[in-house]
Amino acid sequence: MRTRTAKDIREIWLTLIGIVVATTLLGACKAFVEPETLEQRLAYAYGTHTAVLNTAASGVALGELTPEEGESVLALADRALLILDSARFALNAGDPRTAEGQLRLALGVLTELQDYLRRQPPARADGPAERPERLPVEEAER
Amino acid sequence: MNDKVALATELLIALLTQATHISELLRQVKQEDRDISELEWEGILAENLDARTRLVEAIRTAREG
Repeated sequence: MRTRTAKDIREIWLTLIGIVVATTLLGACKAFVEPETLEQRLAYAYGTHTAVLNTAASGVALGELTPEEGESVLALADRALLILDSARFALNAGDPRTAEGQLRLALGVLTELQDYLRRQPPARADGPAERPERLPVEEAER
Repeated sequence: MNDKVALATELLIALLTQATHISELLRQVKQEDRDISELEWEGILAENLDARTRLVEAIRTAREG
């Protein structure tokens, strides 16, 4: 039986925090302001993009993502940001139809990134972790 | 324990934190019945840039380590 490492303890804490967060999430969601305009939906999309970057940064810093995986996330996140910026510029230029299309495209990329991060098993101190998951963009480029 | 919990939990917390920030901003915007100001957009974008810098720095540190 192996002793608990700092990473194990961190995982336990994160799980407990996750349970608390999940328990309060329903109540918190009710408190969130629902976006009514395209601009407001764009603001939430930028927030989601920031959350993905922060999660990937923590994942790389703690060894749950390899530097190569971090770079893949960064590359796809940069594409998503480019699309989000295009949507914002289109909206400011008075072209909500293009902005709406760009926002949907960006949200699709952000969903892929979130799914990818959720599926990643952490690297283990007691052996090499399986890294079965690849980003869709990596598959396409192979 | 499920090995896949840690990063998924981090993502959940990060999403919740961001949703809270944006929601607070939108509450004010709606109360004042206006669009998001340039200054407020700059805040959103600055936080985004900080997160990107964190990721770039984490990758660089991991490569050097």
